[in-house]
Amino acid sequence: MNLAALSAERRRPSLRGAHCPQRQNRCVKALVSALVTLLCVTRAAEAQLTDARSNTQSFDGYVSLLADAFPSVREGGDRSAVAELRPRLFAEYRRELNSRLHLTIAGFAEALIADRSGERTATASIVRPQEVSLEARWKRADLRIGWSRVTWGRLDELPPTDVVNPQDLTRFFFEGRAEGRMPVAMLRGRWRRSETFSLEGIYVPVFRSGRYDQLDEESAPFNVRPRALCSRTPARMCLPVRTERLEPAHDLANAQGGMRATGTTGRVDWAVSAYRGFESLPLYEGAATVSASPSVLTLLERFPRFTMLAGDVETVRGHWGLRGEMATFVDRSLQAGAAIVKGRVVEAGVGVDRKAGEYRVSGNALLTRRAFTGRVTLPDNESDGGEIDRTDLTLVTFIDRSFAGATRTIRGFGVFNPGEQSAFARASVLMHVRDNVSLEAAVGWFAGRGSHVLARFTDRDFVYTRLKVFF
Amino acid sequence: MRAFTLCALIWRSFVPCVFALSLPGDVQTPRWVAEQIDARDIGRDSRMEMTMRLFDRRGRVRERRLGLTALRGRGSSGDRELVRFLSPGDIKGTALLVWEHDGAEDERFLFLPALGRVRRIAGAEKQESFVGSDLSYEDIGGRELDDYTYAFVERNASWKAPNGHTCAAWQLESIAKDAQVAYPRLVSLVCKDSFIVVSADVFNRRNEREKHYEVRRLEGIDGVWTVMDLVMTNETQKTRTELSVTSVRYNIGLKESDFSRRALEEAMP
Repeated sequence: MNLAALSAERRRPSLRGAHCPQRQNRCVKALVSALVTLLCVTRAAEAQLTDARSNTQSFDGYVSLLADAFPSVREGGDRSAVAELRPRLFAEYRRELNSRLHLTIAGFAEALIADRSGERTATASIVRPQEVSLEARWKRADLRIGWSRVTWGRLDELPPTDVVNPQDLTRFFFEGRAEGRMPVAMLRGRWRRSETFSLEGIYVPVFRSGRYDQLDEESAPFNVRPRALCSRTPARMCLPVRTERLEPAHDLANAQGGMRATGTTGRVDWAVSAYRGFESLPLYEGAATVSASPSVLTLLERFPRFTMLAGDVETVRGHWGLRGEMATFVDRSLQAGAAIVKGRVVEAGVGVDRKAGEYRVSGNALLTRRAFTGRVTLPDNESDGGEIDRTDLTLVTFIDRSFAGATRTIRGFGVFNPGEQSAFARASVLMHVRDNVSLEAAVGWFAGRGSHVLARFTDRDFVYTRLKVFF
Repeated sequence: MRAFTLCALIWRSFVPCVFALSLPGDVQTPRWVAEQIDARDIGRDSRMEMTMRLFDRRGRVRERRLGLTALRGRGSSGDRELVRFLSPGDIKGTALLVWEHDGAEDERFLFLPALGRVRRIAGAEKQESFVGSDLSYEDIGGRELDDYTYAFVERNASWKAPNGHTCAAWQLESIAKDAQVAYPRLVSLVCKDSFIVVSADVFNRRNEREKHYEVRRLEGIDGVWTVMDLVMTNETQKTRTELSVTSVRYNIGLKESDFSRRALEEAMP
């Protein structure tokens, strides 16, 4: 254990299954007050803007109610059903302060009332910024400061170079990558030499981790944090796991950032980028020696550094859109059992999309090569390089069709790893019952066993329905 | 070359019609009429807002507001158009930028607010529905002059608008050279004094009239004839789309930079 390293990290201990009624009450009160406040602000702002609405400012948003169910979530050897209710209020205000300065304030209040694992009713509420930024624009440059989201990469849903913002996995699986993207504090500058060449620089001073779920993460169905570790001996002894989160401290040495040059040659858009950041979801490292109890294994949640060098292209030929992306993570830490090891990862993908009759279809193939390059700590004898030296092919497909005057939309999204026969599929139906009211139903299905990331979510099949009212 | 714009319409001045009427009748061939529709002075640029009302077969209506800015091409560069949805909320901010190129494939870029980046996209089939309406991309963006052959059905027709405006007109038949397109035949009424298509019957491959287009209100704005209200009815599906221009300005000094990918990304709905 590197004590010096620990002292430079923020510690957040957590024990799965912890139950705290007082916290729930506080959550409910916070939710109610937040919703009331936001609604009041919303209505007041809307009233003010009714007359003053112009091209220089806009205010809008939505209220939604999502009900979801996981029929059979497996925790260890037990299976249980999960049912959740997620009301959400989202509002966005945009204003041109003058011809140069542009302000965006967007955020949401969301609550959770859930029956998880059949043991308790989980409640939680949050109020979060989605975008709070000020952008200055000049003829050839712009500068943005604030909490914001930036999209890098060209491929659908699993672009290797989209590393700036962390993801909320629950929203990713429910709604897709765009909705799952969480804002980070950033300073972003762009210089545009011309329509065909620009240079972008991003500085992220404060680390923000990705989340399995922003609402009561501990009991979230998509939280695949290890609950117990078992030996591979015939006796198969298992120890319950206590996790301790070690996030990078908020100091100058832990800043993240990168550059991206974007250009157009003929009708081919291309970009090269470099980024130095932290893993947004934790890797786990065994630390039995620091456990409070000999019968509980402590796992440290670490967010190691990585360095990415990448390139991507996009063009159109006839009815086909063609996209490609390649990222080399020259130093990346990899999970190997209960250890974190040094490695190198190359991810390369190609994608096509087109309109086919009434359907819009796209397909991506993503090749991931992970290579073990060294050892950091291997407290568990199970871990070896052979587990992580691997190549995976991931196929991603997307299809959608709108009909009845675009008031009905069906969508299908699938991810498939043929090597391990693991897969995720999501199908949804969206119906606009009025101009500002939509009703959506979706089903998500996971399959496979193995060490591919998708297989970790097996037994998290879900269904949901959502009512959304825009204002 | 684009011709026969039904919706993108809107712009065209009196100037060419004076020229047209001064020509002897035998010079006014069907092809010449189609060329005049394409060649009308529609201003250097324009910015308009419109409301699109989509009626389904049960009469239920869905309303969309959109802004359209356009820049007439100069020299070798073609027209540029930027369409941005202003409402409803689920598509607000979605924008499409089209760079037309004479003699080459157009370039199209889509901005989805949720995605947060500009994406180069393939061109839609010209006769596909435009955002779920009864109008096609071709109706919005214009037809390729050379994709059709032309013939007069009636040289001395007339048209009367619901508001009483009347004009002498040609009835023109346009036949697509590619018989496999969804709508290979179009019979349209073209006002002689404005070169605007004020009415049209659109026939499917079975030569059945499937859609009917009608201008309801025509106004001269800043010296440019402008279709302010129109309706496209799909008689097969029993649906219709009404389009009303709520504001329009011409020659406001737009530049090519107003139609850049940066402009697509940055403009506020």
